[in-house]
Formats: sequence, C-alpha cells, structure tokens
Amino acid sequence: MQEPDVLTQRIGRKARVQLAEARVGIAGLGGLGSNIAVYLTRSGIGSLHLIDFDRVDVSNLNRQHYFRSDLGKLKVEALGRQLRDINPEVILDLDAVCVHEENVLALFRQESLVCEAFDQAEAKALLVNTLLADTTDTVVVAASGVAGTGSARSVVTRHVAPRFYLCGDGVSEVASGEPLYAPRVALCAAQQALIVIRIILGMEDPFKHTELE
Amino acid sequence: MPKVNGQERPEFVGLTLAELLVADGYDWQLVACECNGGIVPRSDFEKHLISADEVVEIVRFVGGG
Repeated sequence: MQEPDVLTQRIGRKARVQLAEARVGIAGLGGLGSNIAVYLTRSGIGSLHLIDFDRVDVSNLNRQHYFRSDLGKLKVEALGRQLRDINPEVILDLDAVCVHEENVLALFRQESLVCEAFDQAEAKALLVNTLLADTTDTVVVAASGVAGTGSARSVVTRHVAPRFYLCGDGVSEVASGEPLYAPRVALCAAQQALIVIRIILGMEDPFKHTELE
Repeated sequence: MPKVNGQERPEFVGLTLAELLVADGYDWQLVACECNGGIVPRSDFEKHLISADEVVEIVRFVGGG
C-alpha cells in the first residue's frame, strides 16, 4: 500500500481493508466483465479471478474496455495489464478458458462472489443455475438485458433470490437485432460492480431475500 | 393460487415446472427458476410439481454483454 494511501483517504480505512481483503470472480470479459473489473480495481478490490477464452477483436472496441494496442491479445492478459496499471497491488488469477458444463464448478470452486458477465444467454443460464444449485454459499451477480437504447431508468438491480442478483432490463437482447452501446452496457456493469461492493461492505445481505427495486 | 412472476396462474396447479415453462414459451436452457424462495436445479424441472400456493419466479437470460 502506497503512503499516503489516497484511496483510504477517500473511502476510509475500514472499507479500504474490507475491499482489499475481498476476492471476486468475473466470468466473461466483454462489455460487462471488462468494465466490472476496472470499476472493482479502482475501488480497491484485493483479488480478482478473471475468466475468458477470447482475444480482443476490433469489433469489441465499441463497448469493451480495451484499446487498439490490445488487438489480438488474450482478454485476460490485456485486461490484466490495465488493472495492474490502475493498482499494481491487485492480485489476479487469469484463466483463458471456455466455461462449460464440465469445468464450471471446478473453475469457480474457490469463489464466494461471482459476476456473470457472459455475452451468450445459454452461458449465462448455465453459470447461474450451476452456482446456485450446486454450491451452498456462492453469491452470483448476473446480467440480462443490456442491448438497445432504452432509458437508463430501465436498467435495474434485482435481488431475485437468496445469493442471486440480476442487473439489466431483463428483456433487451442482441438476438432481436438490438445494437449494443457502450454506455448502456456500462450502466449494467456499474450496477453489478456496485452491488458487489455493497455486499463486501456489509450493506447488503445476499442470503436474506428482500427484493430491492 | 400459484403465482408466476407475480401473476396468479391457477391453471398450473399439479403441472410440472417443465410443463409450465413450455406453456409460457420459455426455453429451459435460457432460464433460472426459483420456487418458494429456492432455486430449482434444471435436472428437477420435469419432476417439480406446482403446488396450489407455489410462488414461482422465472428469470429469462437474454444475449448481450
């Protein structure tokens, strides 16, 4: 920790320590996951487990947190470099693998807090169902409905069930021809990152089911 | 009376969760289902019977991220 620790000055020692001791898994490093990772790193998260098999493509630059200089690089590597540039002390576990039914539990075995940030609906459903049904204490912060140009007001965070939060508008999908715009995807990513921070700081009890709204 | 996403749906009493999903046009591979506060594993969709006082919450995942 650098002295003087400017983050401690801004958020206080207690929150600084709680966040520095926390670890979060992020599944998918596209428009959602890359932004979630940046927000959490800026907030002082101590450790991130980043999972994405893909490489940075020029088609990602309209919404994902990468640069032209990252083209062709593994997303875990390109994002990892950015995160270390924000906070050199952040501990990163990088997995350039595709998540599927056979490896999902093993990949997330150590995680108590996971952000679902995939692009494909099938992958989202697989991860959320597996972590909720086959673990007893893993909390999942998922996303659904980020496409289009709908108002920011329609992007919400819901505490759908114990250990299960859902961000997004719930309906706007790429499959129906809706485009993806950086600010709307980032709105959802920011809500996911915020609920993670609220859970870490003890402002939110994921095991107690009280629908937010 | 069973409630599905907040709406009273008496016609679903005694049906399985899988039958409910088909009736309402959901693809089982794209949803997460919570019944009476607990997640129902996908492998139980065809076994889980909807009771008269069941509270069902179906979350549909859509693509984009």
